[in-house]
Amino acid sequence: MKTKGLMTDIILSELEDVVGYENVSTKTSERLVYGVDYFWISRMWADRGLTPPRADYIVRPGSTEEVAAILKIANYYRIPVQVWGGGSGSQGGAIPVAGGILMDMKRMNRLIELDEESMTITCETGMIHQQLEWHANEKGYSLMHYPSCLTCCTVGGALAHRGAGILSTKYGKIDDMCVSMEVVLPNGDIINTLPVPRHAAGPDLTQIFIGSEGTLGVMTKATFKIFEMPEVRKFRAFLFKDMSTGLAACRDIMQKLKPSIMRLYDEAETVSIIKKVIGIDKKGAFMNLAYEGPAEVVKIEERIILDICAKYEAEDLGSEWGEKWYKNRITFFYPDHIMDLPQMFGTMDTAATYANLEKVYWAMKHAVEDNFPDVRFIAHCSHWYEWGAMIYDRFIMDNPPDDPEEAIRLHNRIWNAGVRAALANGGVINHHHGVGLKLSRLMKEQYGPAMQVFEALKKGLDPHGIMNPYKLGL
Amino acid sequence: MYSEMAKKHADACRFCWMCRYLCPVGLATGKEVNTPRARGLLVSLDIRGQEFDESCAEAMYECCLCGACTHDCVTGYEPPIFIREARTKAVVNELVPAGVQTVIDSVLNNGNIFSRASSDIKEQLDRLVPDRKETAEVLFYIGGTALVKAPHIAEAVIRLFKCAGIDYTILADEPQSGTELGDLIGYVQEVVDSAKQLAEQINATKADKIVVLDPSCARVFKQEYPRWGCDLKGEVLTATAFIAQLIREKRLLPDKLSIANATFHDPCKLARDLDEVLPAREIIAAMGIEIKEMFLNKKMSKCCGTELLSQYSPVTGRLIAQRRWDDAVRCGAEVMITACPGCYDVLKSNAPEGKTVEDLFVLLAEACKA
Amino acid sequence: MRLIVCIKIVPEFQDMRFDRETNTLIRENVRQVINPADNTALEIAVNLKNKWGGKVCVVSMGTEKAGSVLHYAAACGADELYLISDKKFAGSDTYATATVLAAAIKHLGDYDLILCGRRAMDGETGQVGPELSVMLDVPCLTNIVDIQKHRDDTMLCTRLVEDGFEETELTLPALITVCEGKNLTCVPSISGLRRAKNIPLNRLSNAELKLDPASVGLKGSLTRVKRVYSYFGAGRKCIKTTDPVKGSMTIAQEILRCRQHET
Repeated sequence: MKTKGLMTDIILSELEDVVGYENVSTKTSERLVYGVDYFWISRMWADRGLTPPRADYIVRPGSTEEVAAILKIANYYRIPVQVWGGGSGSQGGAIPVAGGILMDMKRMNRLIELDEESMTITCETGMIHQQLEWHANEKGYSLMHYPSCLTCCTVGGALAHRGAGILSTKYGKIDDMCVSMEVVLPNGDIINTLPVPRHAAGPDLTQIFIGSEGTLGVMTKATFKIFEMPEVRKFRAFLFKDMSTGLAACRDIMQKLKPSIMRLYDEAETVSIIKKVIGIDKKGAFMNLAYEGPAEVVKIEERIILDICAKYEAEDLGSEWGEKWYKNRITFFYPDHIMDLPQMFGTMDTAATYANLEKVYWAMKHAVEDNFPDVRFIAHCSHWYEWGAMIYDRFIMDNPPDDPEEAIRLHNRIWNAGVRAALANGGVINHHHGVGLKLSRLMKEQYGPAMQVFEALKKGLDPHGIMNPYKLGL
Repeated sequence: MYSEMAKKHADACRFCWMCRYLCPVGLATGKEVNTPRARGLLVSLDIRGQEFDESCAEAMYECCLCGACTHDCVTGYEPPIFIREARTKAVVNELVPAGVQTVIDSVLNNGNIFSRASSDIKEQLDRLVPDRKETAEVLFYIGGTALVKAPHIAEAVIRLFKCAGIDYTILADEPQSGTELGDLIGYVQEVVDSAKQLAEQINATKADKIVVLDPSCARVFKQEYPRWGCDLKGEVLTATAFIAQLIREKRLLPDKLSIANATFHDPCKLARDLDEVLPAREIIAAMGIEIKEMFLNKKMSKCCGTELLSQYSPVTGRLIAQRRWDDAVRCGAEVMITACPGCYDVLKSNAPEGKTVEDLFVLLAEACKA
Repeated sequence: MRLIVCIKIVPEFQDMRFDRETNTLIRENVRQVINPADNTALEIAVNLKNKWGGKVCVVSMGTEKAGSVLHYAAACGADELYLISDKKFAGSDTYATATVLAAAIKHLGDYDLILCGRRAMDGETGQVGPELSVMLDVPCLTNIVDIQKHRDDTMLCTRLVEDGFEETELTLPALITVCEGKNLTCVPSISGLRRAKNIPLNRLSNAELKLDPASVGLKGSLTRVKRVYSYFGAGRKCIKTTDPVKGSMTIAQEILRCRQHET
């Protein structure tokens, strides 16, 4: 399975010269495992025993300078470079579909600084997010970024896909948490974004690279806010008679307070996943939330929340279910709890303003359920803003076609239908999973002529197009 | 080649990313192939007809079998099950990396992983207990690692036995327990056969209690021997549990030792497999030592790299041990106390400048003036 | 000696879960294993071979899925593997199964001893072995726990009987059914696994056996399963109390209540 050839070995030795012999690999084992990430298609491909897409070289840089040197070599030889963090992305963003170099960042996993005065933490981007969180925890702090992939994604992966954790309603998405970063440009230049995130020195450089999915450069170091652990974190669950009432109540809450968690499930998800994992067996729209901070403040917040929910005639389920959900928040993602092969499934997370939110929900539900009779559609809203919220729509098909190519085509048709319905009604292509290979084709539809801004950036920074080809529509 | 059990576990793990944040190998090397899901993926791809070559076999050996992944799994899947079977496959198909093969040969020929002649082991045993009895109430099983790498730990335990007036003996030539061979070639008949031989010798001592120094050996005695049909007549106890009981019964009366800035490293097998985290802490407290706990302690303990992996992958072994030292240094520890001869040797060989490793039993023997 | 071991592949009972809502077995994620008693039969056959020489031939009726499980039988010492698989055999009861096995064993030629497990974990009928012996017209001994060679054409068998063990002489060729032994799964050896790599899985279908389709499968079955149901115990009712006086009163009241209920 090894690629053989004169130039192959010449390039190999150049890469070895940069990162050391032991940090470049062309082994079968390594090339196989980088071909499968959390993307349904790549998993299905492996499940059917087909050979995953393979990079020619696996390279593991140990420093920013090594990243820069690798990019210079890649640029010289015009070799594609795909950056890999945890491989836990669901959009196929990390798969080396173009061959060439796969750069695994996980050796760059050092803690650089925990600044207790500024309340920031700085690390290399190959660190697993949970490790970073533990570094903060050791000193009594937290990043308050708890995505379901906390234990498996890297810091860089979260930044590259504009990730969000379950506490985002209070503490923000990763793009709100990141203060500054160091980036290696495709030509090998090392740059730093401004040391603070709020300024009036032109457009925001940091935000250009957050969400760039490895197409514009490689993020190597990043600084994040840290927070004191809240004095109390209280949970509560409610049952609304339907999704519409729940949405109205949540909007009302967002105008007055910032709960850390607020999750509203449609009836299809309430009676399926919520029932299975938490054990609550009721019809309607289940909502659980958490509010946290100094005890006195939380007490007042709780009173306001109870008043609002009472106004919308919600059944107060007490604190037990919310606590239970929090305890089980990652149980959902372990085998036998979540959707798995042979099922076909996907998460079409989108966001919309309150004016469009319900419209987007129904449009997507109809687009999926009406066109694909064997497909189930479930949804919840779990990241809220003053202006709107995210809808976490999922589709599930129990018996997808046996033929892998046919399965891919059907998969893409379902995605096209769902995402186009969102776009047509004021939604967006994605909220916090990213675009990757999965939605690349729909980027131009989303942006229209605005896409030329990204294209110009891409052309200017990566004229040879070596950085993560075919991803992000670039 | 794979059992249905292994297939089931590999298929569950191949697409699950959840436990990688605990894998000591993956965290140290930063290689994707060193994550539990990658190992599961390679086995599942092998089952589905993809290539399984030397490099895949090597990936299976780059694992400490420390059980951190298993302990984390909410559903209860156990990567070590398919990793051991993949190692069996590697042996059957002659894909074992050369370094590993040397260690396998050493276990088969000498009964230890260090390529040390079995006559040396016998000499060491004679030296430790010159007046060995055929039968006694307590059989002390030392294990190859302590005998070769840290005999002073075994000596300390024996001094403690004498101090507490224990009627003890050891085996004349201590055959291997099967823990290392089982990790190297999987739980195959050859391992069961050698376990049966050892069980016979242990039973011949008519001991009521089998006190085991090496937690890895204690684990196979307690958990695998019954499954392998090897009947040990005596009760199997870890040395930590046995000695802690002696302190509780006031048969050992340790003085206070003044050791500042100490931490305790929980051996994986003791903490996770045998569910034993308190006896060692009791012993430490009895000596008046206050420990600073590392962030990852007790059942969450991070593996030191193991003596076995360090034998065939010294570079990886060193990286893993250094990571554990980082944890200790971050909590402000100068001294790492261990309760396992393997952890002791690995951590000692990789100690940063100015930091030291102390064995629990050696300290206790000193505190008891045994 | 030519020894034939009949093996059934059954679902691993440890994996079995029961859906109380639909009253059905949950079949997802359930491993397939060699039936425990058949496993012991294989172990006995391999021991006999190792002592007296000869060949162990494994015969199993089932679907293609059984193939990888049968591979384990080879690793544990079997020399020949036969998987009997045909859509026509689907739905066979014990009688139709014995009919197929009998035809397959005749097809394979001479033999000295046939070993079967005394019952299967899933069906628990214990009928196939005895039925097979009648069809092949050989003597049958059931519930065997040990077997040794006695003279050239006789074996000394130890049978499990109601109040102990019974030693019986058995003239070959013959069939025995074997009790579940201590080792419920076989542990292969490295040498066994290496050897097994070169042992092919032979497939037999009705093309070779040439049975009348009316005598096998659902059509050839004399019995039908009408209903399968499970019995769940009533479950214990636990009342926790820390007060001994109060606790003993509660127990006394509960006993009285139950007595009244009975009368």
